Amino acid sequence: MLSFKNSMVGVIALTSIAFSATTAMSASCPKTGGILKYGVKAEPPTYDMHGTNSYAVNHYVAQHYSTLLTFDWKKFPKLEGDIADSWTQSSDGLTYTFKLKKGIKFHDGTPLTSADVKMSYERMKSPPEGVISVRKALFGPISTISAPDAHTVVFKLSKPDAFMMDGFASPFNVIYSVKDMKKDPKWHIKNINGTGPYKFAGHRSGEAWKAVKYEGFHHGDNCLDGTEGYRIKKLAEPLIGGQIDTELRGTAPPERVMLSKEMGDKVTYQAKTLMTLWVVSLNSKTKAFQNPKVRQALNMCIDRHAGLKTLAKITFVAPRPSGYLLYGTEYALPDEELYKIPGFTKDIASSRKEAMKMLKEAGAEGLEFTYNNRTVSHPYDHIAIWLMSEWKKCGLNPKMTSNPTSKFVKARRDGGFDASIDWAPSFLPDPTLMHFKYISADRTSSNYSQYIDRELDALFDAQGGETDIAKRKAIVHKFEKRALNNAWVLPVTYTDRVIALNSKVKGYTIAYSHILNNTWRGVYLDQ
Amino acid sequence: MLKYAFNRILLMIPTLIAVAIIVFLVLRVVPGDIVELKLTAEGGEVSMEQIEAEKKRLGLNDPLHIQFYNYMIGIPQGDLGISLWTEKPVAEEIGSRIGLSFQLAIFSTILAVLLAFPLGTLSALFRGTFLDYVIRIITIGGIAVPAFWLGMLLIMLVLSFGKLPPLGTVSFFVDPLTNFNQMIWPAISVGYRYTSVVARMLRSSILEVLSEDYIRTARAKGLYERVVIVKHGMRNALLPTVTVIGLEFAFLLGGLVVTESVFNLNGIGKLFIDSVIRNDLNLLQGLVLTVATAFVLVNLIVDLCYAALDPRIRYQS
Repeated sequence: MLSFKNSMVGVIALTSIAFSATTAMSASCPKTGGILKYGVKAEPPTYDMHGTNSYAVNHYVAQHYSTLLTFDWKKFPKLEGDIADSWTQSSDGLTYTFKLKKGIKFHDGTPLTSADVKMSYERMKSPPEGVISVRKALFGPISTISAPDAHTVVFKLSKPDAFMMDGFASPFNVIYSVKDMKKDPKWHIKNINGTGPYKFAGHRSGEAWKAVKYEGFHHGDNCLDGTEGYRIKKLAEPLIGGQIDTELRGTAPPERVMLSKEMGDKVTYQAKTLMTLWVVSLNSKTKAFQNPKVRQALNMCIDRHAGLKTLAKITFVAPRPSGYLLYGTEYALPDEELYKIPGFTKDIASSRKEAMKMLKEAGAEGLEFTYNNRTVSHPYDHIAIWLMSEWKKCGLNPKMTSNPTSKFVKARRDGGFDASIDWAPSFLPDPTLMHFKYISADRTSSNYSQYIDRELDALFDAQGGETDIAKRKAIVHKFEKRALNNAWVLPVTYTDRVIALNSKVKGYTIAYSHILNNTWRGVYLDQ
Repeated sequence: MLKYAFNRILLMIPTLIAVAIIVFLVLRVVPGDIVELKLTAEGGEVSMEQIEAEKKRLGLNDPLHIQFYNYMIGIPQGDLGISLWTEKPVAEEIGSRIGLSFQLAIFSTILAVLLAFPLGTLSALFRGTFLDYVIRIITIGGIAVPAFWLGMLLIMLVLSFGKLPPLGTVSFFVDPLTNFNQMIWPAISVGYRYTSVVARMLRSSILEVLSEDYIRTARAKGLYERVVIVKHGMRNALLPTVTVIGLEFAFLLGGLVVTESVFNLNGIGKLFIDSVIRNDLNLLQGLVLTVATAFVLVNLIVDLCYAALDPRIRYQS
């Protein structure tokens, strides 16, 4: 069970609480030196962390920057200071005050001050002309940001927001230098200057990304001489052949068989559930799906309990069902409640019998519909084939259209599908982050089903402003049950992430998301 | 000869203009949305206003005739636009990769020519013998085996002996040994097919030429067999072979789509795949135009070689 107590204490408290930050120079390098080589399976579309959710950008760029807060990876999601030395929160939950560490410098030698933090967050909240910020909505509750002195930043909110503290630790919310932002608001799309552990040393498009150790790093735990990222297509051969030491997105089970066979004890694995939920979005414009019984029937035909166990053996999905919130986490529906919801019961025979009865009543027996799939093997093809066979067991006739990514996203956006594979990535099991996708389509652009549900909207708003954990949990459960019963978006399950590392790579701790802990802090080569 | 060359160069211009127009129009019909892909493919909340603003910034909302005008005006100035993915100039994206594809094409061509000429000649001269059958089996195998599959086998072979060559292009002029190590395996993978095609073409050409009357005349004059074969036979048999070598070379510049991916080589072929997946229209236009130019240039060189090898061609022109 993940605990959010650490991050929520400040919200519950009636008086402002000072967090003791781990500011000491926690230089923990049992060995220093060497170049770590890692693989990335995609090419970054930008260098600007504020304007993207791309893991490729994160994997290459995160090492160059710092954030206000970060997480203690061994006690996740406990927060700790990155450039923040200490922080307080007012009793009404509307004011956050951060004291910054002194002596931090950007890679070009410019000292970091509160003005840099202020302008970076203003850039994310209200991006200037020509700048994209994909976190604009998340920072909507921030009304003002001020910098009363060189090392103090104050955020004032228009309403309490239970997610805000974690938002300050998001790896994408990096701090840029005022000097660079003033030079050109779009400067960071093609340039890099941060305060992170490794300095940018070059990018050869489609091929390699190089970084060297930043000697002035404020935590002092950058143990390597540098890092080299390489664009790869497949993981196993480069890892076996010594071309890379690791890849942080994850390996599929067949790859692990090959790696273990060829590398023996020269490969190690770290595993954790990845906070990306695979879902099937049903199009609200498809006439048959406007009948809730048809949507529920589709959901009830899927044998999640037995099917996912098998699926997990061949691709990287969790071997068990989940609601929208990651199973086992603080706000998720407990299993006993989840398994009562149609589509999640263990008795698949009666579930399918009931589903077929509902389809008959709705006049949708043998319903034909299209399934928009992305032409990527893991886990898309595997999930698609499994779902097709499950629906066919209820006499349904799904037709899969496999599209290359750019065509897939266009069809998803334009509603050119009846059912579509879809996903909901997150870096924290927080309801504000994870439920945003399921509110009405006129409030979120990631609701590809395009439905409107004001009751869900009201529940979402209510939980976001609720600072009492028990009350928030009750609201969140109501949201989950309503959305799952509505069955516009059918959860498949979460992702099982297993990363492979050459056994000489030490000091890395896998996190709950592939966008977390990619700065290589504390990582060293035992060679 | 000069007039002939000049005429051939002039003919290139309408060909390339036609390619530019066709590729522009065809790509506008292909469905896909690079902005949607850039901003939402990995989740997250991006408003429709932001998506539209980004499309506007990249010029994707401009009317088609404006986009076409900008594209065509840029070509003569060497401005192929910017990549919609990286926002770097298309010429820069292609320029940073074409050297590798060019080198691989040269490596493969050298390998093919060195192997195909003796194989094709021997096979023709010893027609119907055991040697001929062996060479024919080898060359048919080369045509039948896909280069990427052979590439995968080669990777497994290299892995069984030790480490793969390092990733990241190393220039031949900086570290020739590492460069050779990086290029030799894909060159073999591609060169096997290349060798087979050229060897088979050479064999059939030699056989055809050797049955000609002028060969019989040469023999009747009492010339040495070596002179008959090399001076009268080979020279005439080279015409179709040179065509095949030229076409294969041009194909290698842009056609190693899968092989470059298998060997993790950052060449034009891999860039083709990436730009198709991302629907990067500007980059795709630039790539097609580059490869088309390479084809046209190689054809020109082949035609000039024809003229050099066969005086009748330049006299006719």
